[in-house]
Amino acid sequence: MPECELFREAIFDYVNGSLESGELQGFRRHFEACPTCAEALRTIESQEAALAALPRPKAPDTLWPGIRQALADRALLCRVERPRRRTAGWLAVAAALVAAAAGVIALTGRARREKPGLPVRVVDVSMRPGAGLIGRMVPAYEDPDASARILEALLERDR
Amino acid sequence: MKTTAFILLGGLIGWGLVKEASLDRDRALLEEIRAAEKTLSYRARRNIVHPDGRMKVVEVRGPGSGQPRFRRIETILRNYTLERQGRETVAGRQADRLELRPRHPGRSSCRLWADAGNRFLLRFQVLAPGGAPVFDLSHESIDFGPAFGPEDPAGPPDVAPPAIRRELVRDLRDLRYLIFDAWLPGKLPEGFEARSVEIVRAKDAFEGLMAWYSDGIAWILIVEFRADNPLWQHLRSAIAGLLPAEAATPGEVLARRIAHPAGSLMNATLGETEIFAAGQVNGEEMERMFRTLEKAGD
Repeated sequence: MPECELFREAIFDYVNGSLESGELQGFRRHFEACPTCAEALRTIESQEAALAALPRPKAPDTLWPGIRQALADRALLCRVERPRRRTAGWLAVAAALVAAAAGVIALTGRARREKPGLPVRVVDVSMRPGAGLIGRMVPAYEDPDASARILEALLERDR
Repeated sequence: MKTTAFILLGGLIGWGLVKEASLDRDRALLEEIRAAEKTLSYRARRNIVHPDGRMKVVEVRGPGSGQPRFRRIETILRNYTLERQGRETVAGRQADRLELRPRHPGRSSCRLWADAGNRFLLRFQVLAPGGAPVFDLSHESIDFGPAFGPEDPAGPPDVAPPAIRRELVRDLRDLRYLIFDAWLPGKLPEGFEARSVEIVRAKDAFEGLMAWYSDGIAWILIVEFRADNPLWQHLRSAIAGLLPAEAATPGEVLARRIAHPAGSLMNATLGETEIFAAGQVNGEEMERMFRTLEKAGD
């Protein structure tokens, strides 16, 4: 991977102060040597400074109590539902077993129907001597792609 | 009773370990052969006998000049067993003879002669199910050495954009935007995997599709384009006059099947799409695959 690409990947780690010391040295060496990457770093640092200078909105006093209540309500709902879900769970397992058994019977029994194929009537014809072009459509063992190049050659000739 | 069970279990585990070790050895050998083809510098005189009887003698330089390539070794090992058959001399060098035997009936097997020292493929032969050779690539003479890299291309590279573009299809749903309906097999011959689907475009609005499938050694190629495209006239001329006088009855698809020493070909028109399938599988396998064609991109 080119150095500039590595540098760009590490920029935010550098800005957040989470680069290891070994990586930090390499990082600094690069932006001292590369004006493009140095400019990118300066842009990101100024954006970070601008974002940090924005006022932080204060959370309303009712926010945390509201979240706590919602969590409690949800726990209550789950407890109330659990007995029904347990029953539903057993039913679901039983239904799945029945469905699986039905599937096995359907696959192995006489009721199995395969996807119908194309209604093809095959007629065997011979290649006449010298019809090498058709024969070369069969991929070659030493170079399967040769068949594709024959098509390309035909297209070239045809243009 | 307990003793018998333990002995049986131990035997099974032992057999499994031996089998695994054998597969590891086969894998390592094929990887060495692949690496040799990619990295060794050589110059050689090579004979190639194609399935249709064409013979060619070429002077080649490597690395990587027209040798069979074992791209997916795990796929090969799933579909072929590797047998070691002793040592022979090829192009004046000692070579280990190997055979890749297909696990699925009706497929061709391959014989390889790998240089005993550096694992370069000195000879590669394909045998039809009955044992008749259908392809043979061998070296009359070969020299290895750092000085024999591939020859430098003459002149600067051509900077004009290619007239023919091949684009890899990464999402089959994109095929719905072609100017013809694309058809792909719903079921492949045993052991075959899809390798790639490409769209081919030429400057003057030709648009076609190529789909590649392989079992590690054998390949199948499906080519499709609009049935009214002039390209088809070139291909049709090769088989004109050999078509049966009867036409397809309504609701029926008439497919022509052509036997080939290395496999088979099939051709049919589905709606407005001309389809050509060619591969190193026999006519029965090709027909079974053809019958599972379904519209792609839906």
